[in-house]
Amino acid sequence: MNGEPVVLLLVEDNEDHAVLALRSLQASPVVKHVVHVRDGEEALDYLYRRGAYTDPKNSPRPHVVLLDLRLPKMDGLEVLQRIKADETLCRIPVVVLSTSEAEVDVARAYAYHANSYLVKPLNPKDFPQMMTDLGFHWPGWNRSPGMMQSGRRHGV
Amino acid sequence: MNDIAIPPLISAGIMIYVGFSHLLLYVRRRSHREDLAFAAVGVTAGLYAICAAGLYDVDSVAEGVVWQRWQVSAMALFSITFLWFIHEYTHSKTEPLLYGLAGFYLASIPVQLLSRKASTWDVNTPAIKEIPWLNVTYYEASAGWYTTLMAASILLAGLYVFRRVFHYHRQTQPGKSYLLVSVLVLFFAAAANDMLVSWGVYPFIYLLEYGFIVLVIFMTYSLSSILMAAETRLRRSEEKFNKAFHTSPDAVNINRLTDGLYLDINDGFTQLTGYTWEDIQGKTSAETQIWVDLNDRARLVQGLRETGEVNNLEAEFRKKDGSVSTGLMSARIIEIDGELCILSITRNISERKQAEREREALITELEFKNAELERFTYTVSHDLKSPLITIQGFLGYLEPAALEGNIEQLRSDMGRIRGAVEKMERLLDELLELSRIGRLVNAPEAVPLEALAREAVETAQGILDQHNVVVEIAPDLPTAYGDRVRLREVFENLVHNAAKFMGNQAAPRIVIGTRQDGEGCVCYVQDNGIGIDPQYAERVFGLFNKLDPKTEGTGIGLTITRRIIEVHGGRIWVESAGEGQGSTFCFTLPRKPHPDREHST
Repeated sequence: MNGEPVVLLLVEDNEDHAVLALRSLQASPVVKHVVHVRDGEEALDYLYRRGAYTDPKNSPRPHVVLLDLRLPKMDGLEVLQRIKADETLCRIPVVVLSTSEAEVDVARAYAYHANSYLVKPLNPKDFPQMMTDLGFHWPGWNRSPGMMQSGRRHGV
Repeated sequence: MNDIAIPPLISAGIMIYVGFSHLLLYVRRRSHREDLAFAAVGVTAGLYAICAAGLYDVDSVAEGVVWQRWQVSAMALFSITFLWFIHEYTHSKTEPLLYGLAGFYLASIPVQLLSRKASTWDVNTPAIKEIPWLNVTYYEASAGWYTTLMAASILLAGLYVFRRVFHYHRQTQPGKSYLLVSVLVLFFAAAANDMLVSWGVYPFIYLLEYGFIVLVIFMTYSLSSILMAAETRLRRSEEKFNKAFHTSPDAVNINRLTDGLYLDINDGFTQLTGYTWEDIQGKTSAETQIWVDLNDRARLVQGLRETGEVNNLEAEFRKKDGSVSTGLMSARIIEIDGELCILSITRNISERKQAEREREALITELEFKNAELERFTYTVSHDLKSPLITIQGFLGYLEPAALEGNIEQLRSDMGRIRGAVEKMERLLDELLELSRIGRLVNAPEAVPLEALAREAVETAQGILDQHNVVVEIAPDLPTAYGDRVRLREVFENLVHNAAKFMGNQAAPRIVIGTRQDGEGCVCYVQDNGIGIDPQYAERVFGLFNKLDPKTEGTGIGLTITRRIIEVHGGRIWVESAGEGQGSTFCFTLPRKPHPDREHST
C-alpha cells in the first residue's frame, strides 16, 4: 500500500449499526480511516467541506461512501442524488447500505446511479463478513477514475 | 250537333276533369310523379273522346278523315302518357321497349297530321257506316297500312301494360289484381271492337271513348286508395310520434333553430325543468335562461347545422326553481311549416353525474388511503427490522468476547442488545396506539379547548419544569367538537414536543392560542425553541421520522397527533422561520358535529 490513505465515509444514523460497521471496517487492512456522520446534511457538509469540516486536512476526500437510506432530515436517496449530480463528487463510488429489501428502493437507488446496494444482513455472522468484503472490494480491488489518476493502488 | 256526339263529349269532360284534378294533386303533393302522369292520361283520353265526337258530327268523308287523323294522333299521345303512367305507377325500371314505342307514337303524330298519302288513310275507299235505328252515318276513310301498323303496335303496348300491371298487382295488392285485369280486358275489348268497326266487319258503334272512362275511373279509384292508405299511414305515424313525444319520460321539446322559441314540450320536459307549457309558451330558451352555459346551445346549433344531428351532448340546465341539473341531449333538425326547428330529447343524468362524482371522490380517497397504508407498512417493516439487525449483529460478537474474557465489550454489547429489544417493544406499543386512533373510542362532544389545554399542561408539568418552560394559554380558545381524551392528547403531545426541543433557550416559553386566517379558526402551540428548517416541515409528521437521531423517543408523537386531527376532519402543519427561530404547530378542528365522522370507525 502506498499513496494517500484510504478514507471511507460512513453515513449512518443508527448508533448500533454504525458500531457494527466500524468494528469490521477498522479491522480492514485496506481502509485506514473511517469518517462517521449521522445524517444526510452532515454527509454533504463533509463532502463540500462546510460547517465543521471546512479544513481539508480534517476532511480528506473519501474513496467510497457507505450510505444508509433512512436518515433524519435529508434522506439517503437525496444525498445520493446530490453526490451524483455534482461534477466533482459523482465519481466517488457510493454503496447504499439499507435495511430495506424493497424492490422499489433498490430500483430508485440505481436510478440515482448508486454503485452498489447492500441489505443489512439479519445474521450474526453475515454483517461483519459483508463489511470485511466491502473493505476489500471497494477501496481495494475496485478501480475508479479518481484513483487511477492519483496514482495506483493495489489490492491487498 | 248530332245527338250521338254528346256522350263522347260528356266522357271527354269527365276525363279532362279527372286529369286536371290529378294535376292539382301533383302540385300539392309534389313527391308523386304518377299523379302528373295520370293527369296527362286523363287529358289525352279526353282529347281522344273530343275527336270521336267530332267524327260523329261531320257530313262528308273529306271532313271525317281530318277528325280521323286527329283522333289517331290523340290515340298516339294517349299511348305515350299511358305507358309513362304505368311506368311510374308500377315503379318499374325503364326498358328499351318503352322508349321505342313512345318514340314511334311521337313520330306518328306529324305523319298522321301532315301526310296525305294513302299509307295513312285511303280517302278513295270511303267506309261510310250507317246505323239505321240510331239514324247515324259515319263518314270515314279506310285505314292505310301505316295506321294499321299503329293499331297493331298499340295492341302490343297494351299486352306489355297488361303484363306489367298484372305482375305489379300480384306482388303488392293481390286482392285487387282481378278487378284491374277485368277493367283492362274491357278496355281491350272496346279497342278490338273499334278496330272491327273501323274495318267494316259490322257497322256497330265505336266504344273506345267509353273504355277510357272505365279505365280512368278505375285508375282514379286505385290512385285515391293509395292516397288514402298514405294518409292513414301518415295519420298513424303522426299519432305514433305524438304518443312517443308526450309519453317519453325524457324531456322532449321542439324549438326554432334560429332563436330557440318553444313550439312544443312534453311532460318529461316539465319534470326535468319545472316549466309547464303555460310558463314557456311564446318564450325562447335564452329568455327562460334554461341553458346554464349558452355556449352549449351554440354548440348544439352548430352541430345541427353541420350534420343535421347531435348526439349525447352533455349540458347543464337551470330549472324553474333555479337549481341546476345535468342533461344528456340528442337532437335532430326537423322542418315545420318551412322553418328549421330543433327536436331535442334530454335525459336527466344529474343523479348519475352525482354518483360519478362521489365514486371518483371515493376512489381518490381510497387511493390516498392505500398509498398511506403502503407507506405505513414500508416504514413499519423498515423500522422494526432495524433493532433486529442490531440484536443479530451484536449477538455475533458475544461469544468471541466471552471466550476472550473481554467482559467490558460483552457488557456493552449486551447493553446494546437490550436497548434494541426495548426499542422494539416501544415501537410495537406505539404502533398499536396509532392503530387505535382510527376508532374514536369516546363519543364526540363539545370540548372547550381552553380547559383542555390547561389539563394537558398539567400532565406535561414534569418536562415543563425540567426545562423551566413558561406556558401561556390564551383565554379565547374556541370550543371544538370531538373525542375529548384524544384532543387532550393533541395538546399534550404538542406541549411535550415544544418543551423537548427548547435547545439552550434561556427563557423557554410556550404560547397556546388561536388566530383567524383563510382556514377559519386556527389553534396553535408556539414555542421559542430550536425551530425547524422549513424544508423538513412535512417530514416531522412522518412515522418514526426524527430530525435528530440523538433525541429520545421513536418519532411517533407527531404522527399520532396528526392522525388524531385528521380523524376529526382537521388539518395540522408546522410553521417555522428556520433553525433557532422557534416553531408554531397549527391545527384546525371542526366546530360542530361532522355528519360523516360521527360514527367513524
